[in-house]
Amino acid sequence: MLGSIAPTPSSTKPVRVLVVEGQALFGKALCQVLASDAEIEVVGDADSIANAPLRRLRPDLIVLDLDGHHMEFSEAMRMCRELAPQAKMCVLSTHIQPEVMQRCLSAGADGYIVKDILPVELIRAVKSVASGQAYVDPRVAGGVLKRRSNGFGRTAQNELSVRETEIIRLIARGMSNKEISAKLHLSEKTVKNHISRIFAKLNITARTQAAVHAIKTGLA
Amino acid sequence: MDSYVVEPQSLFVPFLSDVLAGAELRVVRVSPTLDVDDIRASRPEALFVDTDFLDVDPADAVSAMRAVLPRAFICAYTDGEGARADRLRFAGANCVLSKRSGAMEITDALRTARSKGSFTDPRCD
Repeated sequence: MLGSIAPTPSSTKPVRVLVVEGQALFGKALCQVLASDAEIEVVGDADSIANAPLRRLRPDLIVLDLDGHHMEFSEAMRMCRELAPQAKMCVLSTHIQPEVMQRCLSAGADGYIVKDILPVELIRAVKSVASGQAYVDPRVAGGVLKRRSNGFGRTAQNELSVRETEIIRLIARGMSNKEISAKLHLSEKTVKNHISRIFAKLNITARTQAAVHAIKTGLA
Repeated sequence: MDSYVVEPQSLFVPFLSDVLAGAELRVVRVSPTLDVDDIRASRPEALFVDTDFLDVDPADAVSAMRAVLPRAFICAYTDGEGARADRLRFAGANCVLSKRSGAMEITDALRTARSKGSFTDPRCD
């Protein structure tokens, strides 16, 4: 009697992964580790989103370096979403601060990996994200829980939005409101409004405090 | 040269070791964090340090290494540029290497730094 045959692991299609990593040698190491797993196919690597042939490769999952881009992270995410809407996004970062992870997840990341991850854990993380589950480095997740249990997590209304995060990073770089408005194509009044909300959320009153916060939390 | 590597990205270390071998740097010890006492005890001829994961200022880290091993060849591997590269050099790094470098660039840079005494990747300046 003929019947349907359930797919076995060996017959399932491998996860097509694109690695976007500005640190050239580390990118090659990542590709090598990922390619060592039979259920993962590395379809390409690039040093930046701008140089990644997203449309042509049609990856199932993009491993995206958080730090090595010449564009705002949210812009890099937007490009990925536009050019490879089917792809899951797994962010690679050097930061273990929960704020950075939250910023990435808010921008649409499905996973958050810290770069000192072990090879076996990297493969597990990529497979988890590819299967539709979220993955966050346990240390970072632990940090979030600790903050909440300490009462510092407060509510989502105290967390900076993606736009506010962009602006605080630019403040930390010493940019004026006029420069920020030009860079983000916003009016100066809108920038001022964002900064007022940042100050209120962080309970601060000066740009220097905002810059210090950005640096301490790994945003800048 | 017997080399000590400070690099927490463990999946990267085997790859890096192969590249360093191409510049005659033999990795004899790897530490995920800066441990000055361990460096002092190991007495390597060369130090290769990834400056982007340190929990101290990278230039201070290089100064500490230089104080412990005045004659060692020190290479700082960094994403930083400009003032950070200047500070790393001033602190005692013989080689300031950009993380954008490919394998060949790294071996060439290390060879240049060893033969000429110093090298700074132009992308770090």
